[in-house]
Amino acid sequence: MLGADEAILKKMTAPPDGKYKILACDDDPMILTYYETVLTARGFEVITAATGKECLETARKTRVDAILLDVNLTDTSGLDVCSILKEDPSTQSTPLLFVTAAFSDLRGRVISFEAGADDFVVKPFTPEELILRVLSLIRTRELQERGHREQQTRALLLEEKRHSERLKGANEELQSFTYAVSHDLRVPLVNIKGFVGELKEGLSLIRSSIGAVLPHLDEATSKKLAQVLDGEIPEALQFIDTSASRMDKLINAIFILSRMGRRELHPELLNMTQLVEILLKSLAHSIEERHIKVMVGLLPDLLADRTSMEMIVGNLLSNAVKYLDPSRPGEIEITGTSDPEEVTIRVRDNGRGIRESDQGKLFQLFRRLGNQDVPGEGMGLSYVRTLVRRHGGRIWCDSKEGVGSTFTFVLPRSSS
Amino acid sequence: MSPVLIKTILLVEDDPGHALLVEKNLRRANLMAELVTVANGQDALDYVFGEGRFARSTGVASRLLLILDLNLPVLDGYQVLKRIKSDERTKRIPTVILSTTEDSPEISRCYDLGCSAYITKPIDYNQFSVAVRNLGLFLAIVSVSGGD
Repeated sequence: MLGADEAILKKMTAPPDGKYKILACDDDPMILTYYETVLTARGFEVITAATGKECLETARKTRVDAILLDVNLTDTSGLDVCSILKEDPSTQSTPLLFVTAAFSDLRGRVISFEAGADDFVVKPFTPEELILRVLSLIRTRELQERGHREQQTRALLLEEKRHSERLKGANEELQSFTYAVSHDLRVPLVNIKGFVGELKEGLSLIRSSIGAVLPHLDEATSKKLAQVLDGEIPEALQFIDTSASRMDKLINAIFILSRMGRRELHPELLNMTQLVEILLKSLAHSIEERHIKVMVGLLPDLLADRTSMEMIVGNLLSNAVKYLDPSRPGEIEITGTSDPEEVTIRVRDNGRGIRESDQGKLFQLFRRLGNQDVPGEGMGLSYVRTLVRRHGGRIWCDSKEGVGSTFTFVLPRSSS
Repeated sequence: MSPVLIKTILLVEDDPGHALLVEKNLRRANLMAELVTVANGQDALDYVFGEGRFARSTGVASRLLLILDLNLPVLDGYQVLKRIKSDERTKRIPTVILSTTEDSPEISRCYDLGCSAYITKPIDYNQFSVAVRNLGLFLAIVSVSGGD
């Protein structure tokens, strides 16, 4: 029987990584030597303390796996040492085993547990009993800690999942809201535009027949009437018409943005050199007319949705062309790099650049920065950013006013 | 299929402004057909099938052209289109979808359900006139060839 116990003990005493460290505290040097002999033989590392004070100092200084504490110490009571250790956050989780002859009765056990002891062993005890108790405490603590860690990890994962679901929900809500709003706002606009048209038709009918009536009116009235019919009413109608058109364009832009957010992507391996060539052809007229020097570097192939990529690069290129500085010869450069994880594409120009204070607004909806001498909706870069993000990528701009801008976007190599 | 003389145009449109604009432009195209306007999908079906407040002894409406908005109360345009196109008696009624939506999946869905034409309500008045006038012209041709 004892042989079998020995084998089990040997197996149990081999810690998973490194030795278990035990702090043993007793005012009797004989007992300390005994602990050292017994525990070291089983593979434990033993630190000894002869007083309660020394025990506290060591426990605070050195992380140990368990503490053996004698109840009766010369300098102080073991119970007090125990209470202090169990109140100190740095030591309270270390398993503590009381060693005593005194607490053999029930009252003594209650006192020791109240002081915070995890277990106790009553003298006299066999080395096996001591080791089993110490090991059992260490294992229990390890299991508790592991359980706690797992619980934390599970809680974190759950929180992350909840967060991403909330985000997904909010995003879907925003998409459908955008869709509904852009759709519903067009209904009244159709009326505004439509009936302005009706008014224009009516007005032109009046103007074509008024000639016959005018000579019958006094001069002042006739003049005033002509002014209203030829100037004020057409002008008012024109304002309504233009504003409604402008509003329709804005609504349409939002609609397109929401459609881009919802559109299914079909990633394929794209030859970027070819794609850029085709895009440059569509800009050839402006490029030649303004004598722009275009340099296309070696571009890496890219796994992405073709339509999206055409929009992204097309927008960046046409912006580069549109916002060149007329006072110097225009230069546009497209380059790319890749590493195992990501592909980076850069579109650099020596154009007018963007004021530093404006750079944060660059990708926002309807933002048009700087001189408003180039027509546009202010939507291009919003579309671009939406599409880059949908590919799991990011885009930014480095720019200096009067020097030029570089737009860089980075996409992951694998489709996400 | 031989051309059919269109006697009635049923306009299903819940926005009174849109209905009036469509009517004005159809009239400008000198369209002789009678124009009936209803404001929801259920009334549209009742008219087509001759039921409810449109009950008639002759039953299903004949020589009809349907102009159908998509966003409608009670029953929407898709539901109306589906009902009409899945019934033997009504599936040949030419149906034109008139909508503010330019979303291609929605356009495809209407063609899949069997609509004859899909016109997005263009905000540009001239385009709008042209679109509806083209429709009127198409009707006029149908009427003339049907009358022959």
